Amino acid sequence: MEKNITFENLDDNELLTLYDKVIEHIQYLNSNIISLEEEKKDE
Amino acid sequence: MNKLDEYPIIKEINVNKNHIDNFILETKEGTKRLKEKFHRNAVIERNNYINKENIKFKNYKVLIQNEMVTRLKRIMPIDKTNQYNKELSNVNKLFELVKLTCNISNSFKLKLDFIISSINDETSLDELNMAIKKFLDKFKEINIRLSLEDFKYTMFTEEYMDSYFKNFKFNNMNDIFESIYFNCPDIKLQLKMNLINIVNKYKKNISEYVDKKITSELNELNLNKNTVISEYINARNKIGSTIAKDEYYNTKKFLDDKIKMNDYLENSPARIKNFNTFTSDYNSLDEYGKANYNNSTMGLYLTLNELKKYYSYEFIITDLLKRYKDKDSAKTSFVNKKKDLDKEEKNRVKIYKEYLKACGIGIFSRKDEVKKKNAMLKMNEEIKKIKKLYDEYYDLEITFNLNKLNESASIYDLFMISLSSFYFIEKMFTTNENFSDKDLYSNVDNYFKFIFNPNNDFLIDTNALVEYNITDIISEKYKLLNLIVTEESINKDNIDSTMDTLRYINLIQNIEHSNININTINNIYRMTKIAAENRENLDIL
Repeated sequence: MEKNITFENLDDNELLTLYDKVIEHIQYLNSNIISLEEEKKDE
Repeated sequence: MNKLDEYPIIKEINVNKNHIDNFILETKEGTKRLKEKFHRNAVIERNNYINKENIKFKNYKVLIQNEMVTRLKRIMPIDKTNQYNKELSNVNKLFELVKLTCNISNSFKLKLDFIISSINDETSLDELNMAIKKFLDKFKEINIRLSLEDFKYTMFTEEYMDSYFKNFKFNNMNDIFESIYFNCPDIKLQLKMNLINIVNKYKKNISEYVDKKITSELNELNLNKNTVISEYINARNKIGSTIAKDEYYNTKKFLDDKIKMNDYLENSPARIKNFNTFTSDYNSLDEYGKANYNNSTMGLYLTLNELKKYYSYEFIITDLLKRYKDKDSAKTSFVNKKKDLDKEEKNRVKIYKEYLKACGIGIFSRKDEVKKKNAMLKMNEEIKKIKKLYDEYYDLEITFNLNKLNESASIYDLFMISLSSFYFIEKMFTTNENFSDKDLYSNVDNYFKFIFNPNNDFLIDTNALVEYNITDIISEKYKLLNLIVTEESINKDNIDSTMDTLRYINLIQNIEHSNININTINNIYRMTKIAAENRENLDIL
């Protein structure tokens, strides 16, 4: 998928918004990782 | 629906979020152990999914950064510095021609006065020899080869220059300087006076050379003497306005973080505040009102740039106005001083002849060491006397020149008169500590640029010989153009902050009059920062 991706149809403002959303999503993904070890300690 | 919402990556984000948010991590069924096992397996499975997606989105991030690098190459304005340098060199050529054709003396035009001025008590031996070399070279340019004959001003200048001409690379000048210094501690002063004497001696040749130079340079540029200043001002205005609107330079101001991008965006609080400084509510103005406002603020900005410089040169006007009341008495005292000078110069020649006679040079001469020594002592005293007379003569010169002014003379006329005496200009800049960080030549050059600037209307329109208040004149003018400009806001204490506001407005206006807009600059700014943040990962995919 990544290799074929193209941004041609996006203008500069949309490309920047897309970048912001990707960064926001990476942060979301990172924040959703659960550490089983941490959970055990909390118990 | 937003176009971006349909974009595959955004759709993936939504799918991702939905999957993660609804992922079942707990079960109510089974024993505690089974529930824990279910949770552990679910967490592992969801973490694996997140990690896989994380890698994918980090790749998207790099792909977007790469796209930004490609777009930046396309949308970043071109640097036209080389093109401007050509135009600026033409402006400089015209500027040199303005100086060459204005009312300054020929020795000032040929920079001979600067060379002479560089010799003072603090001048080192090397600097002295370099100054003499520059002086000789300048005369070569005029087609006059100065020889020892020209330096027989005193017995000491002759001795020094005899050695100078024999020691081309000045290797042995230390010894000769020390040996002369013993009999003549003022040797540097005497050489300086000798150079002044040479300039006076060749006055006619210098004048002919300058006339020819002016004619040839005017012909080369296809101009005439009366249009040089207007040509220069037009050319300076044109390139100044082009550079102010240059897309590359204006974008660079933001990229280099010299100014804050966010402050310049539409509807930013700083933008609203700055635009409302000179009117009550900029946004409520109609198209016509906004156009008028923009025009007037641009004019005010250019005027205040000159007013700020005027403040730094105001001490020259103050000095000239003090002298103005003595201009009538200067008419006779100036002429008398010249007579005194001529008399003492004749006396110097007489002392020199006495010296030659005591050296046994000439018919009926006999060597006499005592008379020789006396002539040397007399010469030292005579040169000090001549130097003092020259100082007084030059000091009277500027006061005498004020007689050329009529009663309606403007501040501009007064600045122009100041140029008629190099001595006066030299004294003004070398005794004012505000100008001590630059050399005399640079200070005088900047002064010329100020006098011949394209935005000096207030200097031309203000009568200098009646009581005037420059801040009142300027603020009244702009009040008529519907700007809120108080005298206080443009006085010496507040002009800097008013200019900061105008510089802000002016930049936005220049951008709006160019081929780029603030949104594109903002995009370039953001893309540059994003691309720079992860430069090592760029182009790896």
